[in-house]
Amino acid sequence: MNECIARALVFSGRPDPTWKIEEAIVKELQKIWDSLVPMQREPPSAPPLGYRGCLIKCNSDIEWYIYKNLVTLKRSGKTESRDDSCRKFEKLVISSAPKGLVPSSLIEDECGQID
Amino acid sequence: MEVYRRCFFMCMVISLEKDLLIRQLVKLSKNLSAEVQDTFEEFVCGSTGLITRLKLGKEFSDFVLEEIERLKELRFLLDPQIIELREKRLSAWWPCRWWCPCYWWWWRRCKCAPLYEPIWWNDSGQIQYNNNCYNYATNYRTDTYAQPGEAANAKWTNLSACDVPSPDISAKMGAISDCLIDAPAADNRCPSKGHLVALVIRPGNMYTWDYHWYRKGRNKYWSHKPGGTPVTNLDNSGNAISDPRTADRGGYTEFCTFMKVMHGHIKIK
Repeated sequence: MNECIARALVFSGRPDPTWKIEEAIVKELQKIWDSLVPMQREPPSAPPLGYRGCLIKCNSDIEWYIYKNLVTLKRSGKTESRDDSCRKFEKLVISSAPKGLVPSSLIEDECGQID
Repeated sequence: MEVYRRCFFMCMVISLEKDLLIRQLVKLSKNLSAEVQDTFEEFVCGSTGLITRLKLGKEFSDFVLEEIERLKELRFLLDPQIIELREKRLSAWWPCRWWCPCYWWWWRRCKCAPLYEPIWWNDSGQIQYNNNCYNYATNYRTDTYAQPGEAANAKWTNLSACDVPSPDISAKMGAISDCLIDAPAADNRCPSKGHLVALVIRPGNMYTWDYHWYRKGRNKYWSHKPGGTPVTNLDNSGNAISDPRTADRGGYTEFCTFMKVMHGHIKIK
């Protein structure tokens, strides 16, 4: 079974919120990934402090990093970045967190309205 | 001993030819920062530097570093620009001469501070993800995402302010329980022993509040490790950090205090 754990990079001292992503959501994320185009513009860079994106690690050697319109996939040592101009990937990841776990106000400070 | 001599000679060559080597390295990579200039010898000859591949032991590395420091001081004292500065500027208002201990004090005052070694922490794996700002600031890898006070059974309970009423425990109080020394009057100056760290907090409610630590390096600039993300020497505006009180800290708006880390005295978990 492909088990994936998401981590919202929002804190520095405290542990970041982490949660398990259901398999149905993972499949949905994979679909979104397949529909994205390769990143051709300058990718956004996260500030050192505050919301710095989300990280998804799956036990199938897949790792995603998402920040704003940037979605990066690491698989078997290879890295590929794609452009998610509507931020569908990020929205789905954050909405998959249990209610109240991810402080949405912190994310909105950095990224504007997510939902 | 012959091996020691040869390696020592090699490091001295690197030391003396540093500027030339840096120019060549800069040609090779545009990403090299000016800090390379300050820490190049340590990068090559330090306890985690390339010289460790020779497997000559820590004793040798310490010996080389001591010699590098000694030569740095000599270079500093004999640098024509420094001599000129001394004569023209400093002597006008400071009753010191070139041999005065104040120069030695000025040069050596961050001697005990840790090196800026981002590569060691930014491994995109075990070290990076499991060590946070507190680990990095105290230069103490636990792989447990250390929390102030945890090792002394006095972990923080309230991060809404730098000081909170009892029985709540703030990050500062937790750090003091871990044997960090509160030094509010440090005023961005390195201590004679140990190294300087700074604590800031992001006030809010229990869902959003957080704390953050910076550490002052041997080059007198500050660096930090925001949670599980990589170590950096830049603030939120992309500037080098000469003083965490004035750096762009994003939502971490409250500067709490400077603290001193005495190496080997603290315990964190």
